[in-house]
Amino acid sequence: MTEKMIEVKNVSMKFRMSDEPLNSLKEIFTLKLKGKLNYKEFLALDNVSFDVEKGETLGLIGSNGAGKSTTLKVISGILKPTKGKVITRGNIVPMLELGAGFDLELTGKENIYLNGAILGYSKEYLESKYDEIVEFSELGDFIDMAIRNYSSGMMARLAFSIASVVQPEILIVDEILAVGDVAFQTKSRARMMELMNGGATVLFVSHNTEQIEEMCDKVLWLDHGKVVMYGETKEVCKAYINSQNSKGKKKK
Amino acid sequence: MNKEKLKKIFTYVLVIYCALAVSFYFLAGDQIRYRQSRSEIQMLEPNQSTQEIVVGRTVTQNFVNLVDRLKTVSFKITTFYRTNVGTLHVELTNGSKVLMKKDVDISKLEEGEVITLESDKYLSGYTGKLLTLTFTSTSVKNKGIAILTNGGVSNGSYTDTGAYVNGILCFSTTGQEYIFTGQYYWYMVLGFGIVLTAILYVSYKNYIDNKKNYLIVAINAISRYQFLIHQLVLRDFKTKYKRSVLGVLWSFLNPLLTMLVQYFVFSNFFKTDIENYQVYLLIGVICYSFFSEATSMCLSSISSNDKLITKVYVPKYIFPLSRTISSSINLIISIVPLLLVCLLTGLAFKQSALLALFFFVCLMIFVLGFGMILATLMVFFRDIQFLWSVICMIWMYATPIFYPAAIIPPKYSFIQTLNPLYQCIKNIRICLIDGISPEPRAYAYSFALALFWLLLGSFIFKKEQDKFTLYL
Repeated sequence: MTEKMIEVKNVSMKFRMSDEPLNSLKEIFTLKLKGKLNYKEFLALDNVSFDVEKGETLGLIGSNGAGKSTTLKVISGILKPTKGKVITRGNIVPMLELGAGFDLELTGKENIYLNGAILGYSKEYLESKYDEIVEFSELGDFIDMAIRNYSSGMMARLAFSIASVVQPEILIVDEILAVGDVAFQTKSRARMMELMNGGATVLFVSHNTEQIEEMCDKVLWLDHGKVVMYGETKEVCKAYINSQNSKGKKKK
Repeated sequence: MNKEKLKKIFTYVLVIYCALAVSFYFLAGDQIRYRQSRSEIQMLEPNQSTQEIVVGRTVTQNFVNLVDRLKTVSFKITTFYRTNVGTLHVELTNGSKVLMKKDVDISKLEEGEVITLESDKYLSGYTGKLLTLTFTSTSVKNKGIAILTNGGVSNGSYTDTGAYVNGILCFSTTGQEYIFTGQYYWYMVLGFGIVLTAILYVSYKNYIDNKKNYLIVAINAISRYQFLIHQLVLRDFKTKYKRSVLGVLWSFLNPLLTMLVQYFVFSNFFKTDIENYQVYLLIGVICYSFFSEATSMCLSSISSNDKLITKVYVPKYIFPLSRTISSSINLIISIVPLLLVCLLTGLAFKQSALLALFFFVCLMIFVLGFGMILATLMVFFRDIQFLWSVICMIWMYATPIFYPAAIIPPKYSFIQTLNPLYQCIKNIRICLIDGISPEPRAYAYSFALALFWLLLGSFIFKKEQDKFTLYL
């Protein structure tokens, strides 16, 4: 099986950053007149290429600001690359932000349908999984209450339950999400592992190299938007840890 | 999406097209076949008159008729400011054939009165023919009247008992002319039908051959995001009236109350002589409220969903689209009080009322296109949200919502021609208040105007949408 589920070809992502956020016409005009409207260009991704084959789990490692999250956003379609091309096959479920699009005025039930629709589930699928979602979230009768009255833990539990009910072909995970109290954390971590081992193609970002080593088939190491190393998990992790350690020593 | 489903959708499209074409033909009635003729003869300003018409004198006026379906001929007389006796006999003839005639008792006529000959049926078949208007009278001298003329300025002539006299009688004609949409309606329906079928067939073939086709892409997108749009519209609706006691009833009450306030103000403090003023006003109020609500909702549709857009991939056009749909549902709800007011004011519904729906749809299309432009602007210039409420107000006063369109000076009338909001309001008023269908080109024009804004809006939106995430 060598079907490529994700192909990232020479992707560059450039951001224009002005010194201050320019949000009004007046600001732009006055600055333009003064000739001070200059943007700093910031290359978040620089000519990144890699493929992920079906059923493979690819880990992304790198220090903060290396471009890991940008890579995930480019693959899930939220950002369009400045240069290069991304080809994906199959439905993508991004587990980046839970509960995006929750409406506080609506009840838990209504939010299950709204959030489910946003994540791209069909009506039939949501209806068949509705009981499972409610059960997993342990919300019980609170499900018919407006979520403005929920505690943050309840909201997180609901969000996780909706997001994790999927059977994705491509799963994008930014850190293992563990929410709620200790019991729910264990449960959600188990669910996450189950999803990732469930035959889906997984893109996994983590700072925890142990988790990466445990879960991933291949690893991509990014630094300042560039690919430092791409290959077998053990080798890349070893090199990464070494470089981190030497950096740490230098700082000391 | 599979073959059977696509076949089903395309069959539906064709069936709906046929149904619409047939029902439009019957709903629009005569208005798609004839319109007021643009070749009617206008009455000239009188500055002279013929000799007094007495026994033995025959005044005739020849003219070339360009009106396809002639209905009336009018002329203006002078009594010489005295009481006259006798009968004036008027005939309109084509060669030896008498088309219209009338005997007028001249003793009751007033100075400068306009007398009209009206045919029972429309007279057709005389386009481009020479017609003659002949006047004879039974009056004796000093007891007769004369026809007013325009002499000197114009270089035409009339005859007075066989002799040519310089000048033209003050007369006018009215009638209708044929419109090509009436003459060729079924050919046009067939033509568009063939084009439509061809487009669908090519799309179907492309689908089978797995080629890229915009129609297929669009249908796929609709069926894929239908559920999401449904949920977003539902959300707008649920949250809009949540925690209000009267809830959805406000969709009825709001336009009604606005109309009442404006009715009170404008019928008491300003004199208006518009017929059916309540209905006139309410149509304007409903359309304007929809316009202002939908545009301001679209305006913030991208910027207020910033969290969603930067976290999950959702096609961005979904947001202005779903906002427009929820406002449109509101508009449809507010048609109910409109119908209620129509009934209360005793306005009889004609079949043409159904045609108003077409213009409501045009309004929705226009608002969607316009809303996409606003949503795009809002991402880059947040100032627009404050500016827009002012522009909206200007737009309201610039549109004949509570005043008659006739008070706008002719040199500014182009603003109304280009104002899609007014085009829709005007035609809806014709459908409901006048009870007839607007001219065929009003449909084409309103639709073209709406489509223009939709295309422009989509183009701008599509071009800029990739930058949204960076600016939110």
